[in-house]
Amino acid sequence: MNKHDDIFDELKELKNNSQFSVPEGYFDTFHDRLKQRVEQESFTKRPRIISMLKPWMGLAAGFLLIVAVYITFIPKISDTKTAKNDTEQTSIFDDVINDPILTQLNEYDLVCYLTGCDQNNSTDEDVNENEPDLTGLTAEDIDDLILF
Amino acid sequence: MAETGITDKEILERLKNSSDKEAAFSLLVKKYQERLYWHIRKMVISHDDTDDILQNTFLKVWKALDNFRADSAMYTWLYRIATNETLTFLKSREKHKAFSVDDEESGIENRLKSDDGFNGTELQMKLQKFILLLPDKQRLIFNMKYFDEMKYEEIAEITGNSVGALKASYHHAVNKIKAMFKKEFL
Repeated sequence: MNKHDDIFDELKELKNNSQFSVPEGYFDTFHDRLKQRVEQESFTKRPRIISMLKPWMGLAAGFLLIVAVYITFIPKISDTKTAKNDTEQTSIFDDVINDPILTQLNEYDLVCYLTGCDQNNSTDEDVNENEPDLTGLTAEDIDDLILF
Repeated sequence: MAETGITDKEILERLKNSSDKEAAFSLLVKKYQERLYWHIRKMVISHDDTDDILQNTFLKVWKALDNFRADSAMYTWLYRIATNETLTFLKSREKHKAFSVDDEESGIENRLKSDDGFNGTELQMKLQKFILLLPDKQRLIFNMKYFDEMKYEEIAEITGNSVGALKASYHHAVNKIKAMFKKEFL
């Protein structure tokens, strides 16, 4: 058996901390140095709060920028769109006005066209086909027709 | 150890009183500064680094005092903060390190021999060197179990590992160190 097999037993007696040296009076002065450091940290705390708020401030600034962009540009875009729509509508209206067929229509035709009355009523030609020709009738012929 | 005779319960009671908070915190620092110092020192070796980490630890404690719930023991809470600070420091140091394992071994030995204030025996020097070659977490567990003689349940509460995992990790660490000693003396 090697003499260092139980090395930990051999070292048990040497487990104390005396193997490391510490500057003289270190533990006596440590508290005071720590106190100074704590005070320093407290003093520099204010800028740290600002640095903590920085991301939120950036976020708020970004949000405000978006709102500003929206207020500045979006109404202009919608104005342009409205103007475009107006121009399109005006050009359609001009086409209608200048159409040679449509210019010959009277109010009754237009109303009929819009309400669909021409589909329910028969045309002039139909009337002519179903009803007898009354031109050239004498007063007697008319009396006969009334009697029947 | 320059520990005060005041209990954790008394410190906690005084910490709740805002007018007495600073004085109570001073008592807390004086009570635990040495224990935490050695806990950190065994991990990072350098006194200056230990001092920085210890200050950061107590600063965090000061800031988090209002959030401390007495569900866990005060020393467990302090150890947990100190451990996290130490592991964070070691991780950042690891990032800046770019040399091989052989270089690392000689680097550790040089660091121990240099002005880091190690004045142990040759055998202690070897043990420290082998401990420093363990992965950070394993080294932490080994130190807490071997040097601080803490119970696995306490270590579990500090590190957040299960007792079983801690036992396995400590067992691996012991075997590794034994193997390194064998290799050294054969």
